[in-house]
Amino acid sequence: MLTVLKWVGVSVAGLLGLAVAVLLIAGMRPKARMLTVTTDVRLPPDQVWNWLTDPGKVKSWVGWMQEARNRVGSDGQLGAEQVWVMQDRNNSNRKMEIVAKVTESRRPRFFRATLTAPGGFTGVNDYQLDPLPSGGTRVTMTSTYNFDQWFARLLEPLITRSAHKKALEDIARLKQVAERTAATTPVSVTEQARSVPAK
Amino acid sequence: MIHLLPLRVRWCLWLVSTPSDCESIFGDLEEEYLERSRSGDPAAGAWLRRQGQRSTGPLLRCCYERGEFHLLFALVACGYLFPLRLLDLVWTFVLSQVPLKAAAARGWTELAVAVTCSATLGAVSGWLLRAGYGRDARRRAAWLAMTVLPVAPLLVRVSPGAWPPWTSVLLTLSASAALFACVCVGEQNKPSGRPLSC
Repeated sequence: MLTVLKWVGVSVAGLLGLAVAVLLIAGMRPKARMLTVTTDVRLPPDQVWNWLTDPGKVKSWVGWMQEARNRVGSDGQLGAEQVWVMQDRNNSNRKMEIVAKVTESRRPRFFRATLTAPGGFTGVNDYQLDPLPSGGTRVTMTSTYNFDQWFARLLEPLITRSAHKKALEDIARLKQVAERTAATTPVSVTEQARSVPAK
Repeated sequence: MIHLLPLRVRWCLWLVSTPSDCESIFGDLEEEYLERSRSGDPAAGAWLRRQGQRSTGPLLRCCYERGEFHLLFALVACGYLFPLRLLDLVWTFVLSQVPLKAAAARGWTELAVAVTCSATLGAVSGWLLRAGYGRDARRRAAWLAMTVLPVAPLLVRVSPGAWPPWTSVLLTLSASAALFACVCVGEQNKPSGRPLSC
């Protein structure tokens, strides 16, 4: 029985070692800690820009976000800061504050925001808005994250995979909410006048 | 004559006695029954059934006194509940680290990993039982499977919202199937390990 237990112990240690080795190797892949998601929204870049920078609108499509507020500046201008409060249901509903600071802004095509969550992670989010011939916008979000805890760094391949899944859900929600709101909001007279091509 | 005993009584007697005890208990019951039948006792069959039912309680106490249950619970806690809970905590940690947070509910991948782990733990337990108890392995496996039954729902309950309730059934089934497969495969290879045909 003791010999069997010894072999069980050796096997468990071997499996754990193998799992750690696989995670370490996976953590060295070229696009580690990075994720990219894309969607096409049937709205012009100017309107999509608002959905990405207005705190009230951001809250409507980013999952688990409890609160979003401007701290410095607004509208995605350079140096603007937003505070996002997330409710972590995986962590006894603890609240987590993420500060997003715009470090590069070219309205309405591109902006870059650095994200900081003390004790959790730091990251960079790039939002690229490319106009489509149909009048819509291709939104591409590219995120790169660095984790503060060593265990989180070890489990990075799993975390990035889950984060990618979450980002896909969020961007799908962005498309859905933005298009639905645009469809239900009556177009103002000024906007109608703007949309009429000049003769 | 043992077939006169209801199946559930036979199964209970098999469950609460070691293989050697089981042989002697059934031998004694059979002997006594034959004596009563020969002497023309019309209630011999009823006596056999009553004796079978009454023996279960004391034999169960003997099991407890032999420390069988302590070992079982230790095995289930350390070899099944603890590793699966640890795995669940790893998932929780992974999801809590996701930037901008991710859903608490486990997806199909997490479920597949949990079921694989559950089956592996069941198979390892079966292998340990086979190596440690030989012909008594199947009986111990039955106890083990019965102990896992309430443990898997407990595992699902400690992570509310993370696992759907039917996951516990899946985890229990995978562990029990792997456990019995390992025990029975071992018995086929070992002629001495054949269980009693109680």
